[in-house]
Amino acid sequence: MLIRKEANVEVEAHQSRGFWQDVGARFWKNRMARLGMLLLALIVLGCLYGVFFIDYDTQVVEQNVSIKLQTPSLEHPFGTDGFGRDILSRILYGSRYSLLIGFTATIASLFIGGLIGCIAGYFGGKIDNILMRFMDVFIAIPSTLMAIAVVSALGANMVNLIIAITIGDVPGYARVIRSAVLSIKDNEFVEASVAVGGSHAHIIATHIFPNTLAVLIVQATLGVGYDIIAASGLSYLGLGVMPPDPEWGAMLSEGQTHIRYSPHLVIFPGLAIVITVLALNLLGDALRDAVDPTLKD
Amino acid sequence: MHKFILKRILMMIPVLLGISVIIYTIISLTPGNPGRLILGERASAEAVEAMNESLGYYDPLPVKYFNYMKNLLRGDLGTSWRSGVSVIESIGERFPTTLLLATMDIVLTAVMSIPLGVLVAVKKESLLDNIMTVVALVFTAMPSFWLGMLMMLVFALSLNLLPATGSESFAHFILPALTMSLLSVAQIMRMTRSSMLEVIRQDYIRTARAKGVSEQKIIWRHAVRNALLPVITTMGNNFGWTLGGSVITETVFGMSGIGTLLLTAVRSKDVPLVMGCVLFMSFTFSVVTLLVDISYGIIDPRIKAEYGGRKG
Amino acid sequence: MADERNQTQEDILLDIQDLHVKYNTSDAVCYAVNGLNIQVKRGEVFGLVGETGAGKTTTALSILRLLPQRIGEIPQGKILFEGQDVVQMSEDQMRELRGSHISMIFQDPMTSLNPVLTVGDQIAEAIETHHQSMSKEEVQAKVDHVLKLVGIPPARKYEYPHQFSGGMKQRVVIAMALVCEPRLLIADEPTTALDVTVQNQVLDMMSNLKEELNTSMILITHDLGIVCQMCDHVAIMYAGKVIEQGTVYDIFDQSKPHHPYTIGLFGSLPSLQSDSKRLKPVMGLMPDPTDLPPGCEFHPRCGSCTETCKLKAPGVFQDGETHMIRCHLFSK
Repeated sequence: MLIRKEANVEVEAHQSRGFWQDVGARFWKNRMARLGMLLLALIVLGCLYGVFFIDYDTQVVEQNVSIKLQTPSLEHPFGTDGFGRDILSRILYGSRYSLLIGFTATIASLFIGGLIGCIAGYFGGKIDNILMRFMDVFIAIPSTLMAIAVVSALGANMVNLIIAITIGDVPGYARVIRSAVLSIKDNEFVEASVAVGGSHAHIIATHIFPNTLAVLIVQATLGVGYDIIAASGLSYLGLGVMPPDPEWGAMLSEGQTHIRYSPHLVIFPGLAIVITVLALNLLGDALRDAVDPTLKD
Repeated sequence: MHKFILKRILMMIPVLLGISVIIYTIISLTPGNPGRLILGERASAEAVEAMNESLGYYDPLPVKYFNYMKNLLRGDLGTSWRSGVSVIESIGERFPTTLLLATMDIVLTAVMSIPLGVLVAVKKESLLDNIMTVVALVFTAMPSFWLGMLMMLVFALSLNLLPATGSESFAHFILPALTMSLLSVAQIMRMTRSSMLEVIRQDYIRTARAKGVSEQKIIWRHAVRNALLPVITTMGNNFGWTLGGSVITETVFGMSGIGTLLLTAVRSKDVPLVMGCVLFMSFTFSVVTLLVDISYGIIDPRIKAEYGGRKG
Repeated sequence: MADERNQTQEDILLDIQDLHVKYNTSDAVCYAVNGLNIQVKRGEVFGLVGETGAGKTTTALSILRLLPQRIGEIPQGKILFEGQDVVQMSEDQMRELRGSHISMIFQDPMTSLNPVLTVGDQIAEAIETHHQSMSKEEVQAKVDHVLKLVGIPPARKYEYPHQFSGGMKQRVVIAMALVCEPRLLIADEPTTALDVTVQNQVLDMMSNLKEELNTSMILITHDLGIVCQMCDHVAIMYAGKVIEQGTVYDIFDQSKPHHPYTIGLFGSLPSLQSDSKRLKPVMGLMPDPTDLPPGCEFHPRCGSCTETCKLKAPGVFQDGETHMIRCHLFSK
């Protein structure tokens, strides 16, 4: 038995190394993937610049009405807003909110949804039924409404915004991961592990989880972009990050008052959102094609 | 078919109950003193206390929920703490705006995305296909409120073709509906495309080709009907987004629908109104999902037959 | 079979000459058919036998020019149907041919019918496509007639495919293929997906209909029992080539010379006459069509392989009028 187990592990490890090598190769062959990587690298650089070189008090929130609503110039490449603040500095500084909210909410909902999905799919039966019916109810509530309800109960700030978005995302991930687990569960290597007496936690951790990883990564990459849009939407409504903090959605909300005569107030923050989400979507699509080439049309 | 519809309606009841429990619980967490909100700053502490007592504010949560549901079944969603107007009346007043917006969104989406999706599937890897792929990518990355502002900027403020804000006339609905649908067009078109490509690979399409059926007929008669099944489900699910998204779109275009009603309620901590709006929209979404399920049964004979539909 | 020698060109319905088919995928070029020659005479059943991947289905799809678009390609060869080269025909000409003169029955009846159209509509479509002047009543009468022929009550034409069992579905598919009375019917493993009892019913029905409508048939199968039962002529395919061909008597006569692969195929059948305890399967696998071995394609699996086999493709050995073998063992 022992010998057989070792042999199994080796075969599996071997397969998975080959698998990820193939995924990597397919990923790098994809032009869209490289474009997405480039864009994301630029955004991360911009964010880092904001973290290290932009001062919140003097460059982000300090008002200077004498230079308000200036159109783009050398000194202010994206112009200034209604309070005379430099829009480029605010966008660079504000990138941290979107990235932080997007990644935190995605990781949190992946973790919770993944746990629920794994448990439901692995144990099946009654546990599966109860958990998934519960998820069905959550899915029946439109996620924006759920987020609005949560923020309205807990109050508008960044942490509550993350909680609100996470709650809306969990059932979707739970469903995806449950079905991934179900398709893996019946594989022989899992049965072999059960046969040699592996514990549930051990089997989930060593066999099920690594094999759902591909699905997880793809979902997560696409999920971050979606969460960034959701977060900026709630901030736009005044239910997330509040002005004067330069969250992109909040900037758009402030800028809309001046849309008629100073459209640059809404154009640049919006572009920042689009480019960020586009980069993440490009990566997600490319990863999906790389992980499962058969899905590609 | 009746059996099928009945079964679906019965299956919906526990979901609706579950929705109400979750939403009631979450919104009950809202801090604040309803008596003070209703009576204002100058009311005496005793009056506030009496008001809270009469509202059942101090009852345990299950009792409050039970009372709320009892009233709900009688069609009473309570009264607004701010205006004193009945919640169901406010919703009834605002609902037509949101409903019209959502309907226009769905219709525009279907009309634009399905033919386009079929076309790019048939002309796979053509110039048009590649262009639409890029367009779809960009649109999926766009937040609705930003697209809304751009549309307003171009069509209302620069070209003066349509009104920018408000919901007084039909013209006011065009830009908001277009905004919402353009975002779903990207998704539904891609979905129709991949669904079509999947169907075209099926054996029964090859069978039709082997019969000598023309390519035109194969696409529209054999492929599209099969390809639309998953697309319809997605469009039904998207209705949830449409309702949630209407909060944002109505805000951008200053329309007086349920979305803006909800937002005002949230900002003024008007708990009965928030609860009423969220519940109402979630219930509406469930009803739409039900309708989608039923229409699925009509399109797909396999489901129709399962529930003893017409035979022979 | 007695007047075999008196056959003239007129009697040949389908003549495939040196057919090559390849699939160009993004990763590799797959050589599915490599120089195939077969002749199908009017009124006969021609068996095309081989393992999965031998190129049988590709050959069939080539005859109807239904190879996967943009991937499948016929770089060389002729497919003469009643003297006209199908390979050169325009798409419009092909459409006219498909379903009216040449019909095809596919392997899996479960997936061959459109789930959202009624069975009657799908049969009627074949008629409407090729006889546009026919009135609705005439079409429906024809549908009823053909359903009766395949043993299905005409009233069931209003039902959808999922309401039929597998065997009944295959009858519908056959009805659809025969409704325009084609001269050539290609049946690609028509009974593989069916239960054994149903298999025989369907086969019996097919041979009866063939007689009734005077249709020629290409029967693709890997089941030698079906070949023996149904076919007049047999071609055994390996790696996209015919390696042995003859009348059903030539192939099934164990006293005649045979290709080692043919012997292998028969060795993998259970027999009641011989006492052998085990079946002898052909060892190894069909070669990778993207990377065919040099010389004789069968040499890596062949028990009688010589040095010549590894280098040179074997020529044709003619054993009498009708029997052909492609193997170095006989061409000395």
